[in-house]
Amino acid sequence: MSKVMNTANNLEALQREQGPLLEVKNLQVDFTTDSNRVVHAVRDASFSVYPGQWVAIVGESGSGKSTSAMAVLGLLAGTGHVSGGSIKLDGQELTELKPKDFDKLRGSKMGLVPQDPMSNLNPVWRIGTQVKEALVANGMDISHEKRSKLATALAGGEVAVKSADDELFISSAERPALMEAAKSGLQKAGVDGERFEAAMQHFEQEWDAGSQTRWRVADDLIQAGMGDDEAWAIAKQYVTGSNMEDRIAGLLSEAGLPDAATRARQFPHEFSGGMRQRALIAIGLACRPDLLIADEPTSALDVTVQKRILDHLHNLTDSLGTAVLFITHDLGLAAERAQHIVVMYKGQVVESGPSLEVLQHPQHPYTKRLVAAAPSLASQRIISAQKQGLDAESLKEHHTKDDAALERSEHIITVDHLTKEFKLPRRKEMFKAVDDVSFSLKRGTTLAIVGESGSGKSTVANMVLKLLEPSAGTVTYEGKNIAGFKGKELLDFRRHVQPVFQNPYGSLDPMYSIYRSIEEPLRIHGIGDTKSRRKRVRELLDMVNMPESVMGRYPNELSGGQRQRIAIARAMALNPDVIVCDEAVSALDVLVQDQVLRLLNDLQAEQGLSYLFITHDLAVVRQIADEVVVMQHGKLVEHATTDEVFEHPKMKYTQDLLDAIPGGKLQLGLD
Amino acid sequence: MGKYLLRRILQMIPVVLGTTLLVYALVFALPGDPVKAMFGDKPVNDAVAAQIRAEYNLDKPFIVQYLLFLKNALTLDFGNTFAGQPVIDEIGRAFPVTIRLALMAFVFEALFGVVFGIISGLKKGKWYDTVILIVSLLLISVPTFVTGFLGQYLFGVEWGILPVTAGANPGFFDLLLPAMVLGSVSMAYIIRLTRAEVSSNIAEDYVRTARAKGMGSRSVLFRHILRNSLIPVVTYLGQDLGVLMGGAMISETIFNIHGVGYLTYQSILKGEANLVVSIVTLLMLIFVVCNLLVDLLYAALDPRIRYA
Repeated sequence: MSKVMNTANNLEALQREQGPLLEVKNLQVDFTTDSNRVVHAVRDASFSVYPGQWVAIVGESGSGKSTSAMAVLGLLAGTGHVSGGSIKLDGQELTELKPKDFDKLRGSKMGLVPQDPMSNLNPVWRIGTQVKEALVANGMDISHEKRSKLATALAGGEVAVKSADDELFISSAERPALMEAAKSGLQKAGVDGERFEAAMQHFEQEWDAGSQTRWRVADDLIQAGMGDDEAWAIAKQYVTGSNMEDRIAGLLSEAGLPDAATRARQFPHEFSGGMRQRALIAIGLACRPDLLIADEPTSALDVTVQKRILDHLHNLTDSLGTAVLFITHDLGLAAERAQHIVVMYKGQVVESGPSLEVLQHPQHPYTKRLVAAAPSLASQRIISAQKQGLDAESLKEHHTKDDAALERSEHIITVDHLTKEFKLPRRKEMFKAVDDVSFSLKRGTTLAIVGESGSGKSTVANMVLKLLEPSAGTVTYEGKNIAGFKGKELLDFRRHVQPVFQNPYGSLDPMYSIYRSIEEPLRIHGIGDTKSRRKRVRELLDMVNMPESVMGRYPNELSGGQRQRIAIARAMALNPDVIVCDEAVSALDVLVQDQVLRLLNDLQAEQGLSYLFITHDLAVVRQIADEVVVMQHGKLVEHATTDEVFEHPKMKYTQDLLDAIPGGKLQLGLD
Repeated sequence: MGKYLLRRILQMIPVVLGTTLLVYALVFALPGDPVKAMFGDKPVNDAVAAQIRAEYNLDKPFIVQYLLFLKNALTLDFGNTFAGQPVIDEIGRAFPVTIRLALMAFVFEALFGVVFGIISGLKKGKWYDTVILIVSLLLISVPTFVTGFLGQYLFGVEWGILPVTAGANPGFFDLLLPAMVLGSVSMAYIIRLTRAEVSSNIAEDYVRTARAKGMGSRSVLFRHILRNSLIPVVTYLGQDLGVLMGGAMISETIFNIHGVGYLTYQSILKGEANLVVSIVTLLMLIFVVCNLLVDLLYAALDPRIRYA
């Protein structure tokens, strides 16, 4: 413990001694609109990042957090330009740099891990090629590791003894011989039995070609029980530097990509979102920058993947001594990962300080709202309150029905042994996307289906909506099997079971005015005349707290949260009994998410709606659901009330999902 | 891949049958009597006319004529023209000229279309972007014969730097102006296509990622912006090669080039069904093969595309 404290103190002292790595002072960033109007995206923002430190910028979309980061990188989009203030990296002023000089800093001094893994890799180049570009562009030495100043300073005298050759990487060609030599060396040194097995297994895992260095190999061998001289002799003979392919694979496996040498030859479309993000992390860190800018690096990913990737990134940047400027909209996530938090609102820094300080004693009203809205923190607050025997109900957005009430309520939708199989190209066996799933949704309650992407939860939703036909099993609505619905009956079913989809940008027709979008279901179902429909649209807008004036506007003029409210208004137009929300709030900022959840909840209380809520985010579930169904690989693994799932998860998988909620382990000042 | 290729080639069979039948029917339905046309103003001896009709199978019903043509075509015998020349010889004389013309037009439009398109796309809103856009719009909206006559007048007559007409056995300089005229409309389309692609690719996230890696602007341009922008341009160009071969009729007529377009025009006037159908079939085959090559090229350029 004291050693850890020492290192922490040591680190802080070193950070102070070296001075800030990045110092942003009174930064102003302006955009010029088409009509020559100047928009101030960032106003008078100041913050600094010390070597090896994680600093988080928190704020909603449009708060200027990404813009500030892009200004640091010199990669402002479109008409954006720095109109005032200073950005200093390692003492060098960046705002006056010529584009050519900026090119030299990017990659080698500062790296980027961008937000959306789907669009940030060029689809026509192999993953390995795209990593290689970073190495080539900065003229990186691919056979030696580059240690940051901080890492060198931290290691102190230890490193000074090592020569440059000790930083040589293992190459894939010599790795088998190295393993052999290590094996016989250990045997000679008299290491045997379990200890020998453990050591060899450790080598097998850790000694990746292109990422592990000579001195680490020697170190590992000595740790395993070999003499210093023998260990160094083996390391010197068998670790002589990697080639380009090795280094690419090494970087990728460092970022947590399994089987990296093969993966490097694949194209981005053959990768999942999480794998792409790992590739982007490999690219961002390829040239060992002192500063890594991580712009919402995991917002597009599932919570469990998010946790794995951030854990990995944390270990990696810690061991390399890389400072990270971490941009996120989730305060809980920021507090968990960063030592220092900067809160931005409308282009200004409204609060900044040590993470826990900001979290426990927020000063600015906006920060207070953020703390209140962060779903991760909210669920934690409920748990803490329950532990202390306080009234946790008041903290929830949604007052869950007690067990007795749940018992009594009748089933509006019943899913019975539902199975969906898909034919995969070039394969004989069928892929079971949904495997024998049964549950029922009770009238006036909310049932959440939780799982990672690929768990089959959206497929279930589509079958409940009768947008997909099940391969086996039935969906019953109001006691009738929906498979038999045709013509008028089907139209009636569609009227009563309405969807709200994930992406509010894609689910509204851009060519339709808001009025037309909401009115469309009424018109299709032939309800009322023009005048009464107009009245109804007005009512609906009022219901979702939108002004009447938006009727004549178009989706592109509205924000994400506003659009999602329009989508909800449209779903409500026909007075449905059931609304299926497929990741309806996942794409939204925390504050907007909070608003939408509140809205859904009020509507349920007023109209007795039933919700089937599909999400990967358990934090949201805590706030809204009565019952939870957990799905993994198409199967239902757990089904219980929300409280039960959170307090006594039965399955390991559910526990993993719970652990993945960011900020779960933070100490909150509950006052 | 092999399976895909075979299927595509088999698909050509109904296409060939359909087009030949259609074209044969159209020529058959043309007003006027080809035999009378052969004699011009001279009176026609009924016995001679009947003999010619029998020789060219003109006395038989349409479907029999068509089937006879197909049967002979399978053995590469496309018959004779009314003047007694084998059709295959006529085609053999005309095609090399048109191929040369089409290739020159192709190079012209590819080169200038892509270059101007890139300049325009990179600097959207600059004055030269506007100029390029206006010129390309003009080229698209003005018919080829107007551009042709204008070019002929300016380059040939007024300044005298290029030959006015090409005539038989044209050389490189004789074909330069016709090729430019022929390629001008496609060039304008390529400019617009390239411009749109480049300007949208510049804003792609992966371009920003590439710059964040520290790549210089030149390598970002070539490796990321152009590589991706040119995929649709290349596929357009591939298809256009087929269009250029068949579409040279107007330019060939204006510049008096004895190529395929010129030959087709003449044979339609004379009602030479065999010749017309043979030329059209050949052009169509070229077009279909170009299409197939484009599809194969597309899959080679974009790894996301798979043969299915």
